[in-house]
Amino acid sequence: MTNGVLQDQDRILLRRMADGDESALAALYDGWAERVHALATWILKDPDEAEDVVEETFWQAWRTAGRYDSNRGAGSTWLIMIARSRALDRLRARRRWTDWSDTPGNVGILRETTAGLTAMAPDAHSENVDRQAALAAALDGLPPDQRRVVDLAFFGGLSHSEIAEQTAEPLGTVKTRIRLAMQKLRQRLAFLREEGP
Amino acid sequence: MSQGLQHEEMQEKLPAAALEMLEVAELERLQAHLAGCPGCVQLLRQYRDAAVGLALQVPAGTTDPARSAAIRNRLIARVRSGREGRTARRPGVDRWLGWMVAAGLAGILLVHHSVHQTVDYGWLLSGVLTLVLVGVGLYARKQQRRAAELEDRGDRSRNL
Repeated sequence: MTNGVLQDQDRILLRRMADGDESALAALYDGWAERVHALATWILKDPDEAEDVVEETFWQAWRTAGRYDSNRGAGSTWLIMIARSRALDRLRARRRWTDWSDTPGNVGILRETTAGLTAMAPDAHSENVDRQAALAAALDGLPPDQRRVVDLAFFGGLSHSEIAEQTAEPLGTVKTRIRLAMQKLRQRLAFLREEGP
Repeated sequence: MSQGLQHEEMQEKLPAAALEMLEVAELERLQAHLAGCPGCVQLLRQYRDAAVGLALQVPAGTTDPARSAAIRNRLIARVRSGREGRTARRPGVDRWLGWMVAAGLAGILLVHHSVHQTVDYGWLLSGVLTLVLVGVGLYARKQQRRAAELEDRGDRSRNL
């Protein structure tokens, strides 16, 4: 099965959800719950709390499926970004009580795990292995300082100024690094799209 | 600012937009720009795919099938009860508003009664407590709205 077909399936499921079809929610859950749980666990470092995020994510997807615009991105992208937001909400609430610098860092750990990505057990989306390997290579190709700021932004939900504080780098440098890292990732993944970079 | 310059500036914001890092004002400006720039819409989509690629790199964990099935069942139950709730509730009417107005008036009456009649500390305390409860209720509503606004902001970022 190709990525395009999978994306079409998600899009159709979201459209059916918007029409009130609860079996579509169940199907979307079956396809993505494990992946959403893995992301939430990665962000929160707590599998039990991650289960709450899974429920919140699919509940929000159900309530707001009508607002999903397929022209703006794949259904899976939309769903994953909801999951990330819900997990980060919890992380921020927790961070009010603890110092961010005391929490386990995501940076570096993911870099190590991506190195052995192809050896990972296939999940429900094993058709995406090529894509994941390409992503792993693209991420591995980023300079460590660029990779670090992107990790802090994506998995830590930190703002530009918070990253500047965390890394003790000037704000302008942080903004530039994020922009450059994202540009590189986009360009290196260009071959996965039909159109050019 | 010329259109070319503005386009360039907006294009530079796309990576941060994909990571949902923009402030509300920046988000609004970008939203206005995207409405007339299909090229930037396409580019943002590509940046967003790259950002989500980070999430897909997270190692797949192991989930307990029984717990996962329980979440699935809870979701379906919520959908069904939500549907019933939606049909039962009158649109546009806050079901707590009437109770809060009534409680507020009762609190004021109790305080008024206990001060202007023979001073009765029991009634006075009841009145003050009622008003405090109304205050807590109002604060909770404010926080609920704030949470909804934050969710809406995330929603706007995702639907740029």
